[in-house]
Amino acid sequence: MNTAGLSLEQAPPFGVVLRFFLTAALFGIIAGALIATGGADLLLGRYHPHTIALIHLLTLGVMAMVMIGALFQMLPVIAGVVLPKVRLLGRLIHAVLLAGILCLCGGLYFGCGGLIGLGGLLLVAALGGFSAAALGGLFRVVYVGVTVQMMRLALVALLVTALMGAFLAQLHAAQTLSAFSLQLAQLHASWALAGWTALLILGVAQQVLPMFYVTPPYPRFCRRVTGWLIFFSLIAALLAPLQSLATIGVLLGLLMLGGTTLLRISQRKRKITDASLRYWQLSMISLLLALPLIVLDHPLATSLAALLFIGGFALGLINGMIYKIVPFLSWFHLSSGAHPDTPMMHDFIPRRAAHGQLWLHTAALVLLAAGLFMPMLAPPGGALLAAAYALLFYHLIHAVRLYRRSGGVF
Amino acid sequence: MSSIQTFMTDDHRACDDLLAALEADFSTAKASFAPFKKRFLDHFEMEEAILFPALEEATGMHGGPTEVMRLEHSQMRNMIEQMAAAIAAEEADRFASVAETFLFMVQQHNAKEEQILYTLSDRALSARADELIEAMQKLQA
Repeated sequence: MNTAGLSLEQAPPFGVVLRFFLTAALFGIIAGALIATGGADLLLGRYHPHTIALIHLLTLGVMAMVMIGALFQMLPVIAGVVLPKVRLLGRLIHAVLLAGILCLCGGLYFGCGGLIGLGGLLLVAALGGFSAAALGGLFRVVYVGVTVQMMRLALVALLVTALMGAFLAQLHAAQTLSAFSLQLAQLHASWALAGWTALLILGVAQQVLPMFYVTPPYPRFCRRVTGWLIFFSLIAALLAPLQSLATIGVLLGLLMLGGTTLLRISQRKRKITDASLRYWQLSMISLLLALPLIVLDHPLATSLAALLFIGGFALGLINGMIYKIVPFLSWFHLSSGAHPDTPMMHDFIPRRAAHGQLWLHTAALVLLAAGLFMPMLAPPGGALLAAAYALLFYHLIHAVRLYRRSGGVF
Repeated sequence: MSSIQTFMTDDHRACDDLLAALEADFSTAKASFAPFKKRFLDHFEMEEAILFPALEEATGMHGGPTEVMRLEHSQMRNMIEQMAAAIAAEEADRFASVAETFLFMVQQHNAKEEQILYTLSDRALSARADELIEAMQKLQA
């Protein structure tokens, strides 16, 4: 019998996933500290190497780190894809990804071309290797629901993003930047954010939002149309004459994702409002606010759109997910040993504690957005962001320690 | 012809509703606990006494998925008792924590049943569907 589909029995060891999450929180602290010292110039720089370093600390250090760690859990459990030698593979991908991020961001920040080039190669190895391993399994899946489809598209987009990024890193390393590299940088950013990030969120949201908050399932068009619209629009964007059409397609797809998710949240049967739910709302509202700013195509609007998309939409959703996934997995891995007094979810991360982290993150976002217009507000915004990730790190350590004390293994 | 998938999935949704209502308001939890508990225990019983044996007989499958489902049922029964204890002791935080963990457990359990076991049941037991559903309805009454 084919038991692919949801199967927690195939879950990887907890340590595989935790390693990625803990590292991500540390990168969040570094990114916040960087803004606290570098100020608003860092947020407005766009193509300045320091700004590119900051963006990659957030998109690779926090976002990709968590998304890949979560995929190690979700691929077997949701998609039925069993990764080979998962403990070793997890360590390897994590180590190469970590080294790649440190080289790329360090090289960009301290102006060392050799490190930038090396970082690009390490990152294409880690991200390319991971997407190849995952895609190999995902194309053999028998039960293909929307989540599996979206994971496939997202991982193809990750591969495209990584290849473009590695190429850009070589251009930076050789200091041969041109008008072409600016165009390539924009495509790289579109594939990273609208492709890899939004498509994965689209697939995962349709699986977990109905489960976590007992909402009606997403409508048919979200399953059949939205992801493909975004994906084909991104392909169209590669051809210069189709670019404005492609932008419309991407924006329409993202509008469907944000609008439908907010609607489903409002229709949830589970009336509880916790920090995670607020994070889902913050995420989708940030996404919707970012969309008109993308159309404006003004430098300040673009910086604000990037802040909303990365800091609100992506990081907000990721934080919200971590506050559910980590307590549940802690409980789950312990309960397979069936202790009668296994700690429950809120013992691992108390419900009220998560609210404090939510407020820090939200306040950081508001100050950073205001900092684009009033530069003096950017450093405290960065400090709050660092504090938010320090608190997240502390919460994760709290969960890990209780897990270990209760007899859990990694 | 009736569908086991539809009948059982509808019952899952009814269970979801009762759990969501129970969890929403601790001050009324004492009153809403009994119907919640009955519906969940009946659902486990329908599967363990009627559906799973029929499925095992029709497919020759023993152990494996149905056995995993039975284990998870016993885990969930245990958690229902822990919720009862938290309500009796008027420990709202403890109740919220057990209830949320229970909800996550239920959701992943239901998803497995709906995606795999019920689909298989409709395929393997189509000739007996009406009879089995009737027996399960009787058990619920």
